[in-house]
Amino acid sequence: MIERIREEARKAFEEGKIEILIGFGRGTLRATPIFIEKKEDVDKLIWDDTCWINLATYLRRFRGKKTGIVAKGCDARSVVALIAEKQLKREDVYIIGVPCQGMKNEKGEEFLSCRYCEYPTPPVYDVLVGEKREGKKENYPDVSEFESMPPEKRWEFFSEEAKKCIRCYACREACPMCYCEECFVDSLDPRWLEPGLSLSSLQFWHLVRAYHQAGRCSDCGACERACPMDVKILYLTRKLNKEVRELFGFVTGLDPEALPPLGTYSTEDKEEFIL
Amino acid sequence: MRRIKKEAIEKKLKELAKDYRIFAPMNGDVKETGGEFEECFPRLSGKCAFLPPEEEILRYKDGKVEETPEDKPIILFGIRPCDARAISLIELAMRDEKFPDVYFLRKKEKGIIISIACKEPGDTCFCTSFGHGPFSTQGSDALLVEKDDYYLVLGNEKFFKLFGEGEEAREEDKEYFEEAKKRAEEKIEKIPVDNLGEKLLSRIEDPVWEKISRKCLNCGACTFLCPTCYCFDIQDLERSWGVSRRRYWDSCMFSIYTKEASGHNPRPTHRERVRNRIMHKFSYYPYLYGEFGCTGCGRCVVYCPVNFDIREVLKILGGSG
Amino acid sequence: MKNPYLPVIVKVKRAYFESDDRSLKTIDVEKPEGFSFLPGQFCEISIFGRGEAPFGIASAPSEDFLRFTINKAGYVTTAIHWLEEGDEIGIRGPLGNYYPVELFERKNVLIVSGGFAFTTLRSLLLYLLEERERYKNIILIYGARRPDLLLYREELFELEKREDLEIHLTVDTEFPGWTRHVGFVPQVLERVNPPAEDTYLVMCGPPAMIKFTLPVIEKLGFPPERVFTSLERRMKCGIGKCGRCNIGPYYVCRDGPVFSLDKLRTLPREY
Repeated sequence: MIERIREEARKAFEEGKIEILIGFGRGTLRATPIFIEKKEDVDKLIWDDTCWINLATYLRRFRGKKTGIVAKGCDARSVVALIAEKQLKREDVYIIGVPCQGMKNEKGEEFLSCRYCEYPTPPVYDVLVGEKREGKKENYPDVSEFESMPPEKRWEFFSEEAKKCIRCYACREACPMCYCEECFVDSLDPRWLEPGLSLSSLQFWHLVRAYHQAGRCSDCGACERACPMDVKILYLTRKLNKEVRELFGFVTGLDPEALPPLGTYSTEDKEEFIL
Repeated sequence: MRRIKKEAIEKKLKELAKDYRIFAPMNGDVKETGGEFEECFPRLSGKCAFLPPEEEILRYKDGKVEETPEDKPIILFGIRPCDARAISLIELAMRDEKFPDVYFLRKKEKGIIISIACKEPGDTCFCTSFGHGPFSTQGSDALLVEKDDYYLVLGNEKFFKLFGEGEEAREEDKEYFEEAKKRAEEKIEKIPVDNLGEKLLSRIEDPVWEKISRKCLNCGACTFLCPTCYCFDIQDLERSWGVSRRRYWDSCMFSIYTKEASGHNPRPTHRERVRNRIMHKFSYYPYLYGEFGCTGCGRCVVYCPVNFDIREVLKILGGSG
Repeated sequence: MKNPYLPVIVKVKRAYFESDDRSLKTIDVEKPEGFSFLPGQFCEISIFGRGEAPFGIASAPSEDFLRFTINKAGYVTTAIHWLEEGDEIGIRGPLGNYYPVELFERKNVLIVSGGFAFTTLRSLLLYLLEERERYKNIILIYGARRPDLLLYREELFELEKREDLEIHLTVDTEFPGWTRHVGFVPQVLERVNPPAEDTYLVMCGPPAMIKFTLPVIEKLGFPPERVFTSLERRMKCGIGKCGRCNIGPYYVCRDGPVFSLDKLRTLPREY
């Protein structure tokens, strides 16, 4: 696999398709993002099951440059979502798609987002390295489990998770879709929420970030893995993705032309929530 | 060196919870406890006790300003020596003749810090690089070394007065101490830091900073978990009775940290922000206070989402990598 | 231990808009007992419930009030613009260093300024004029986009009449009734062509003005150690603790805001 990634990367440099490539290299603890600017360096690229950062996060830094990205299914879907939101131009991004085998933590356990991944193979790419992999079709069993809890249990779970947060915003910064010039938490006027670690502020932060991701999140799970405090986040973002699918029949990051449902309007939109 | 029964210290700690606020590692982080603690290298460091994530500094009530009253004194128990050292490093910045940081210093002056020697350092530890180590006593009122059901204790009067003196350590205890210390130190990677401050200063405009910093996401994980990072924000909260002015952990990694009302940002990208973090610890700190602003605890290495490894950065910039 | 975080409550004695567009407001507040400072120092102003922000002191040390002129830009400055006579605010200060007035004795002093950065330079100018005989020639070159954006202009028009002081006021473009200079500050500086010899230069202005003035200063032959400027950075504590305003190992709030050009040249360009 890794040889094929390097080969495609080398080719892309030679053919002038890219000026810079975002990929994974060998880190000291696990795979780490690297930025390759000349073809001689493509041998620094690696691929293993610790490549869990969503590299699409870095793309906006290189706007206007022909940028290559080594992308697993979720990274590629974030790229598509960014293109749909006019943050990137399709022709500026060269996607070296890698069908993903699933990512694992330091204990060798597969991450939740990978366990239920529907799109291990990038739905959009310029070149695909390796055989396509089939996704799972389990329709958010983890979310259903959360939904089946009685409301007070759900609230308790939510509160316990939110309480762990120290507001370092690693989740936000690791997320390709959290690109706002000014995040709502940083706004002073209006001040949407208070600073500090009061439970209500933490709950507010986690809820609203999740809401802002509705129909934009590719289920990559980088936010949860970036969190130094082990706060669970995916049960919120995945719940919203499930809702978006049920209400609008929309899946993030499959079509660069398709606007996220909350960013558009259709007379066919369901309206039950109003009644 | 003294030796005190573990259970005597544990019991005493619970008793002291009446008159002191006890902070200790619990469920993986340093937090306020009722005197319980667990033996671990905590994720949230000892700074939580003396520079909490959120702290009121004054109240504005009925047209008057009131200083936030002092709470009970603090006992910080069971942290590793690197965290104890870290607090003494923060103190260097807070102790200032003209503008003393009253809220940190009053806690520090009445507080007691008791560390437990680090017999099993981790793979990401590099504390010995800074001339200290897993058995360092700097910043601790007492250093405890676990031995069977005893702690061997190197402590000061402040500690013995509270916890009792136990008995004189035996010859074999001292041997055990030296051996454990040696074994622990040998496990730790030493990073060359000779003249690091000057080297960094001479490379401040070096293009290498762009390379080094590129993968940084500019989140605050490293700085919040860092035991020596002390930067804070101050904000006013409106309450029914008036205004509570509070300070909160802040991070030089955040872009809004330096962003001005006009929109101008003197540290606009990851390059300037990462550079400032590294320079502050390894060049400005030694320049201002004669010590590096890092204890080599390795938290920023372990918890960085993108595996930004400060050890590698120091090797590159210090010319050994 | 004296607590440097505690503000003193003072009353606003006067509050009025400086500019026609109401972007600049001046407040004169009571001067607390024993408050003594030198030109260039600043205060943290508290609007309780909104927060604190730093502002240079525009009044002279001898005046019996403290003056601040505030450009409406953010959360705190907006609230300051709401202030009226009799309102109470908190102040902490004086903070920071000051223009090195000791060095100016028996020397020429050239003050170059643009826009609302003139505040602490009013303080400096009045301070120098109080003991006029201690200094040689004093020249002020001060410009703004429009006449109404020149701070304290009525006072400056009065000072223009003095024989022992040279004042050059300028606006960017022609305005009806404006009879003084027209053009940007660096151009006027070049036109006035003040001698660099035996002269200290103090310069405060917006980044664009500084950028284009620096080459002129160099051309005129001012050595960087005799050029002083006051820097602005986002601040919180104002006392070198909260961390954000450092440039190299120096905190703008504690070691600045006044820096000499030669010192700045040794530091990263983070301002």
